[in-house]
Amino acid sequence: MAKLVMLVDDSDVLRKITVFNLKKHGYEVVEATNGEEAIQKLSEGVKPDLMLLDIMMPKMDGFTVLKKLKESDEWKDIPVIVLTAKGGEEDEQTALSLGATKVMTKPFSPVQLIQEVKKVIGDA
Amino acid sequence: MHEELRGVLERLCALAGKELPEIADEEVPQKVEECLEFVEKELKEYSKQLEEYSMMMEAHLEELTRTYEELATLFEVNKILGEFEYPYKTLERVKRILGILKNAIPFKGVVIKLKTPDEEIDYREGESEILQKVVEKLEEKGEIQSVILVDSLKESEFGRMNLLVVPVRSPRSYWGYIALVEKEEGIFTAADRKMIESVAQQVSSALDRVAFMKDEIERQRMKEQLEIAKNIQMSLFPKVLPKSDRITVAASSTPAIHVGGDYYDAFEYAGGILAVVADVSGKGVPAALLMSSARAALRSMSKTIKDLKKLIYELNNMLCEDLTEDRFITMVAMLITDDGKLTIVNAGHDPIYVVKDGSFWSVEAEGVPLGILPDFDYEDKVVDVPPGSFVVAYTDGVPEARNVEGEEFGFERLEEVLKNLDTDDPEKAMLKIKNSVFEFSRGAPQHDDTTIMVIRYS
Repeated sequence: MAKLVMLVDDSDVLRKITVFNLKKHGYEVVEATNGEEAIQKLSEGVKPDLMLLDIMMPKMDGFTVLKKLKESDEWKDIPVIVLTAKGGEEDEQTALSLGATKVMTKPFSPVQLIQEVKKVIGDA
Repeated sequence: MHEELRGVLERLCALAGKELPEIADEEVPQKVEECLEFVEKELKEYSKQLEEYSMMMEAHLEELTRTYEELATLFEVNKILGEFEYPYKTLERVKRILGILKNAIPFKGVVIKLKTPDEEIDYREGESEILQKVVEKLEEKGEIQSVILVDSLKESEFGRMNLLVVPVRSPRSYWGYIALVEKEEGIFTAADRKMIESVAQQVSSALDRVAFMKDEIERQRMKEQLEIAKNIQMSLFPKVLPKSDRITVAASSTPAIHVGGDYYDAFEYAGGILAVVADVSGKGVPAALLMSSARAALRSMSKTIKDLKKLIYELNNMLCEDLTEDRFITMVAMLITDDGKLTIVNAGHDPIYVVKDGSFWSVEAEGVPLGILPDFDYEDKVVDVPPGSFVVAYTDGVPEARNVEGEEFGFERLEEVLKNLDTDDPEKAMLKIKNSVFEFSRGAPQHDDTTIMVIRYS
């Protein structure tokens, strides 16, 4: 069964590009447009092998999602690659201290993103 | 049966948004057949269109991905080049850039040749024989003026290969070039070219900044050096000039923009006052240090050697040992006693003047500059100075001072001033000479220190 990636980002264009590239490499993708939606989908029983998580989002930001994930016994082992647009060292440090596996700064290279995904969960 | 088929027809018509027209029962089956054919045709058409649309969508996403990749690459490149530290470590940065660039343009080989302000970079990745050939061909061309894009389909001077070369240049300088050789898949595209051109542009801007920074640091260093040299020089001049019943000394030294090595000193010696004016060859800190050691030697030797000729002889020998070939010191040493006897030893310095009541005469003595010929036998000249005279010594900054037209102050103007000193005060006499020189050269940059010493014998 193909590995499942949950993509949480409010930018439609970025989601489309990322989904397109993930699918091209054989991954299954489930999308969420904000933190709240992501948590809801997880609660409904979606079990991703990896989460790609944006930081700046409406309703619930990425840091909050990350905290909830790491506090939950059920979800704490899901690896998370954080996508941050700010590019600030501070954001990166915060994300890593909250338990993110990797932080990528936007605009990130799609090729590199796939490489990172492979590094974390292996081929699709 | 017909009723059921009629029902199907009605629904099909409703789908198309029409009402079922009046038709006879026997026509119903055929009409149903026609309708189904029509629906089938429509569905096929839709499916074909859908396929086309999704292909288009995919192409757009592909294009968008590429654009995003380019954007990300340029962003990263900008970040790598933008972190400013000195020294700039261009090679290290170039290697990081190549790692990123490879995502956007999967090239097989690369050559980067750059002559930066700090280093000469010849970086290659890929099959060395092919790269060597590319480098040789490009070297033949000298400076690369514009982008070279070679198609692998045609035979060219590079042989059959797919090559993309961009110069790294700015209006300020030519830094070198970046050459990409063969792609992993396909050939170099217009987008690749645009991308690599943009990278080259960023590299050249960064190198321009480095060059500017380097110049600036060098300027700053020079300025600091000059400041140090000035401080050393100033600390060497005597704070208080010696005085006897009949002898008063006044002196001043003004450093030029490029601090030279002028030096004067006066102290009690052998029952009189020894005054020296000297000019050390060279400029800046080395000259100032040399001056400092000459002063120390003169002062310490004068404690034990009480004959002026012998003193200068020994000073010369010591300096001959210490000084490198291109360095020397010109010096005039004047020992004046209260009985009006003036003993002069001149080591390659300008002659001094004795001035009295509007008339003057120069006193010359033969001798080579100090630090050149060991064991040189210096001449000591003894003259009697009449009471009421000035003895005037100076460095070449005085006769060689230039005005804005480039004319030299010269000896004639100096002698004219000496004829009209019109004072008994050596300080005033010294200032009068100094001011004449400065008024003459106002507005023109002076490259030599200006030192004037005036001794009054009354």
